[in-house]
Amino acid sequence: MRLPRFDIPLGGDNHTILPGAETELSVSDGTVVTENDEHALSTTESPDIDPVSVEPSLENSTDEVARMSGNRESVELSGIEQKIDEMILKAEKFGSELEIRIVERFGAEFMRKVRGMVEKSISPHLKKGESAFNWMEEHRIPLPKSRLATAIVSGTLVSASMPLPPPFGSLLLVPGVVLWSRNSARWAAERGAGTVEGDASSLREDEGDYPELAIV
Amino acid sequence: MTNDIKERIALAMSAEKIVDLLGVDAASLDDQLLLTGKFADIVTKRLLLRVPEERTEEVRQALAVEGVTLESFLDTIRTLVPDFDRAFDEEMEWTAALFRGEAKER
Repeated sequence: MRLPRFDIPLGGDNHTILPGAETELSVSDGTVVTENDEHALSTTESPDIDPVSVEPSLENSTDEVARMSGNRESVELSGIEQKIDEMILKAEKFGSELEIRIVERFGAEFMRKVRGMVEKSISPHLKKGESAFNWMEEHRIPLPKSRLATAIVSGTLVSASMPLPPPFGSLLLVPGVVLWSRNSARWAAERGAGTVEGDASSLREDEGDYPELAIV
Repeated sequence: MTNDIKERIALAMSAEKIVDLLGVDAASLDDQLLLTGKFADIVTKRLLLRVPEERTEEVRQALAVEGVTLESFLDTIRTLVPDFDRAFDEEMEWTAALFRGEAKER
């Protein structure tokens, strides 16, 4: 069974808090607020009920789903969901600690401005339906293989996951700009030589500049 | 229009790389979107923290410039972080290890 999620608006960004996350930060007007999510999660425990008997481990929970469903696909999906939840817990915990260091170093408004700048750029790409596949093929850019990247390129992400998850106040475009900068020179050179191969994620060794890209 | 498409491709490249590093292609797209966003958030913050302490003000100023774009801001960060490309690779790999439970926080 999937762990519940709690989408709580904090300081202009929504954060997902999962059971087990120790802290979540909100930065607002120069004030750093640490929230103990035990308050948010208080409904998972009751003094009248033995928590051991009602809170099976994740592994047991997965086994229970498997036993009840008898469906192998369900078993695999549960395992993936458990893995994702564990990753998100780690990200939440470590991300909060990083946020403190960023605020101390650059000030409380800094990351909000950075996120705002990026979100202006990425929002249209997650909402519009225009596909970039033709452009990629024309320019002989290797097509993505993952389902998420394919959905982004094809402009079908919103229909696949609507509404957009609130925590997507993210900086996903930042690594993308760095990767684009590296790979574009190689793509241009290989287009000239007619030797474009491989996939976008494997081209990390190359550096270069592609002056046509202007993120606005 | 062309820049619009390139932005979309850059976004997809980021997602592709992170999904590949984490091995989560089988997860739901909602979960992947959530996870890749948090991943990128951590990588970006750790890159910013690699800017030498004495050059902190230059980062603030770069963000305060009128008409600043993500690309121009990253150009500044690239000049301020020593050996930026190597640092970027290290942070991507380290963050992936963190998500997989294989890295110590540092």
